[in-house]
Amino acid sequence: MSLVIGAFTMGLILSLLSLGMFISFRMIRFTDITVDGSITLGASISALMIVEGYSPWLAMLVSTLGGALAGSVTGILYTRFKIQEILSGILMMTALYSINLRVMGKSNIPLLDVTTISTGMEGFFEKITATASKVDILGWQVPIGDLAVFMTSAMIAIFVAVLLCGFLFTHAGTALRAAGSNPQMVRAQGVNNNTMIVFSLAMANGLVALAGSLLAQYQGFADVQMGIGMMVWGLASIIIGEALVGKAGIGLTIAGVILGTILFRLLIAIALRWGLNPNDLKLVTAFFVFAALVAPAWFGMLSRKISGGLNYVKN
Amino acid sequence: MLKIDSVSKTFHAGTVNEVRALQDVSLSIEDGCFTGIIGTNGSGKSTLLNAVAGTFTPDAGSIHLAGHDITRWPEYKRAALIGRVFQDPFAGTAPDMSIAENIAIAMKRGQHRSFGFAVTRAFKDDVADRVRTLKMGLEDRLDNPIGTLSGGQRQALTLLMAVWTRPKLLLLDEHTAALDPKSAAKVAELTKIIIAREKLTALMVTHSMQQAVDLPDRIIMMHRGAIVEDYQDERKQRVRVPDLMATFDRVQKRELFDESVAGMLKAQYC
Amino acid sequence: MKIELEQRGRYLLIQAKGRLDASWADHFTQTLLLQIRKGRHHLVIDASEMIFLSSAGIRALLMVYKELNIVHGSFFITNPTSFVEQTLSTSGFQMWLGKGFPEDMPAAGIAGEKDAAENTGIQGFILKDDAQLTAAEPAAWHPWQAVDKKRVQALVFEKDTCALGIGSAAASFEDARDHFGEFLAVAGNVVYQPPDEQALPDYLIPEKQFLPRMQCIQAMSCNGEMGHLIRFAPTDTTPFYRISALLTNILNQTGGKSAGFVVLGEIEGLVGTALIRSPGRLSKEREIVFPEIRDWLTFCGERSYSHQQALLTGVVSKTGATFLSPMPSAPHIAAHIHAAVFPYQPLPNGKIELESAIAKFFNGPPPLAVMHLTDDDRPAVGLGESALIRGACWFSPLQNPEVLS
Repeated sequence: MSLVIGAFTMGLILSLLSLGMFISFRMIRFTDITVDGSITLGASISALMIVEGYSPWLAMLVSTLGGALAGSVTGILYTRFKIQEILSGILMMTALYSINLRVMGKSNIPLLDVTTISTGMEGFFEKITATASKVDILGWQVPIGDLAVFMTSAMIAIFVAVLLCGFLFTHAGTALRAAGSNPQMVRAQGVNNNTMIVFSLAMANGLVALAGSLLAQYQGFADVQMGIGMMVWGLASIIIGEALVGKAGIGLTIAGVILGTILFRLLIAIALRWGLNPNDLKLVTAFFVFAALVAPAWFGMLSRKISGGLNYVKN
Repeated sequence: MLKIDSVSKTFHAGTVNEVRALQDVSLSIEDGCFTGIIGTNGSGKSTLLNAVAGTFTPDAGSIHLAGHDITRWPEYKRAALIGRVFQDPFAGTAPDMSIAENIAIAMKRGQHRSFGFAVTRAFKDDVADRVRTLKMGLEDRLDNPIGTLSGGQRQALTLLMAVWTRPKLLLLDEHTAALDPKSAAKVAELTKIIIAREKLTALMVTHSMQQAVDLPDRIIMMHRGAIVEDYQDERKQRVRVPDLMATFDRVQKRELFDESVAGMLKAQYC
Repeated sequence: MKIELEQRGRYLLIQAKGRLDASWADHFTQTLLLQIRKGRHHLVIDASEMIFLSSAGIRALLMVYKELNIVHGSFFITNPTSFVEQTLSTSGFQMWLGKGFPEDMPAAGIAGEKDAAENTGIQGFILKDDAQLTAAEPAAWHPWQAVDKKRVQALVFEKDTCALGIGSAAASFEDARDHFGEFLAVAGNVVYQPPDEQALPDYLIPEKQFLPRMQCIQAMSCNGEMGHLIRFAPTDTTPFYRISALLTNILNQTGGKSAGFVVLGEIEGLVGTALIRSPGRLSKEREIVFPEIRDWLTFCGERSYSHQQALLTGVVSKTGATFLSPMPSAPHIAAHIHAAVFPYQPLPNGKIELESAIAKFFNGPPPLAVMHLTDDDRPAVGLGESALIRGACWFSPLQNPEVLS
């Protein structure tokens, strides 16, 4: 059971990453590599601040702003200096590696016996369960700490999702969606596309850094390497999420992305349980994303070939 | 009033592909005048429209619209004054957003885009009323993604969006050229009705001489980046398609009249 | 509907199979009119497999009938199905019904003439053996002389005159000054091109007491009767006739050194120029060179007005003169020719009369253009000289060729 709770918690935390990437990759269609750096940035800032004794909530806020700043820089590199989008992201990601080392002062910071955002929730649970260290859920004994982290993550994820969904239906959010869908149209409708891109990347990387902050607190450490491959994980989650809900409205798609992330974490947990070498995890994920990207075209081609072949036989 | 003053633009300057797309073009259009621009391919008619829309900045000259010098304004800023419909019926709308959302984007053209909800009940009623005037039955499909509509329907909506805020200038870039003949006729008719109803100043590039004769109040003919003919008032009222053809023919004849022709005529014209 | 054509002797047999109704009427008419245009003026329509004939079909037949009337041709419908026979006879067109397939058709309209080579090659007629034209050059502006009142000559064009030059239909010199353009006059009719790029050619027709009158700065006229007529039509080896070939033929036929002529014919292509600014605007004589020349003259730029009908008139001579320019395609002759372009109208075959043929054109759809023909001999890019596909050419030798020099 703790495996399932763990996967759920991890999924909820990383769903913030997926939602951020959903804005950049799907809404404004910007292939943003900054993600790998900004998630670590969020983790490093939070770890440092928490270790220094700041409130974890404040740490979370500052992490989010830091991520937003990183995203803006990528956006400015792209819009103002006309650097290709992937290269803009790579430049920022590379720069962030050093920045993260600078922030932490070393390559990792452990977060042991510190106050995290779930500490309050933990206390609350202890109170209602009368200091028991475990609670019984459907016959399983679940540690209170795990449950508290899960609940906190769920609350934050839902809060962010509702906020994001609402935003996308405002005048500004509608313009943002249109900017990704048809840049020529929004320019003609008086929207500054460049501002839109910078703003969206700030928002996206802010969410990614928020995910990093929560991840550090959940894992109990921040590591300068922890961002590697995160972008591909996020992409895989989005793909799964979109497959879950199909062609749907914004609200449903956002829910789908969250569910997709959780499902992806569950699949990974199961795979690891079955003996998948953790070192192979990124290879498997990369292959999965590759397959998801090429499969539609490939299946289409295949079916055309088959039907073409049939026609040939008929003739 | 739109005032284009000695605007020039050369693309790929200094290369073998150098195109002198606009050569010292001056044109002023009075408020409420619907002007058509015709010309051969590469005559600069679309370039002139794009110069006004702000797709590029001219090499020389200035453009004034409604008292503003918009020469250096970026495209999105000019949108506060200018409504546009493109040739590609898919260019003017965001396909995976609903009709109402697309119109909501157009409604805020030139205004601050707030964090208030874009599509409200009252707004949808307003949209339905105005969409109904298109007589396409789209008022019942306001929540459908615009990508599910036909090219003609999308173009009609783009037109409606372009005039939603009653712009100082409406730019139509061969906006019926990519439609099937029936939709093209429908959109052309709507164009005429809407421009007349809203008393808009409009600039329309068209490849169809019949359309140039039927719709606008004034016809500009371009060739090689310059205005070669300007039909206004009673000359415009008199002009028919064969006259425009003859004018094209004349312009082309003049082009073919080179020094060798002059030499030949010197010997033979007596 | 399936239409099969077969030339049988002098007539064209048309097998029209299927339904002659609204859907096919236009196709049927176009097919037959094209044959008439090609000079096939005697048609027999085999209606043995025509299963249906509607009023639209009758209208199509009527159009063919009318066109044949214009060219003095003939047609009848043979072996009609009972439906077609009944439809035609009840609607009053029984005169179109005939029987069998004739051995040959009567030589309609050209009785007494040999019917050989009806529609091909060159066929000559002598109208009046000793007819001669009297040439005159009452006004002799030369490019680019200044134009003043002294240069202008008011001319009236009689029925027996053909003329060409530069003039205006305005009443006075002051009115005419800005409107001098190319004109030509044949059998009392005048067609002229006001020198405004926008303007269409205009024309004057003699009616009752009215005789066309022009203020001319340049004019060459030929008075008298046309003694010769040649009819030309394409053959397998000669798909069209170059102007220089026609002019050479004219000079050979007359045996003289010079001749005046009028040609009516279907255009293969015309090459020419015309004024677009009145020479009246020249206040002093000067040479106008490229590029300014483009403001004064327009050049056709391509072989133009294919398949329309041209009315040409001019003067040709073996000796050059100021008014005539040598033709690079035929260096031994010099000519000055103006052409007016009319929308296509059929011409009857055989010996036709100049005055009535011309009158028909001036009373039909308005002219499209007037131009001064040139022989574009520029290397590589030259358009060559004008050419006609088929038509009629009237001419007489000049009795006073010395006027030209």
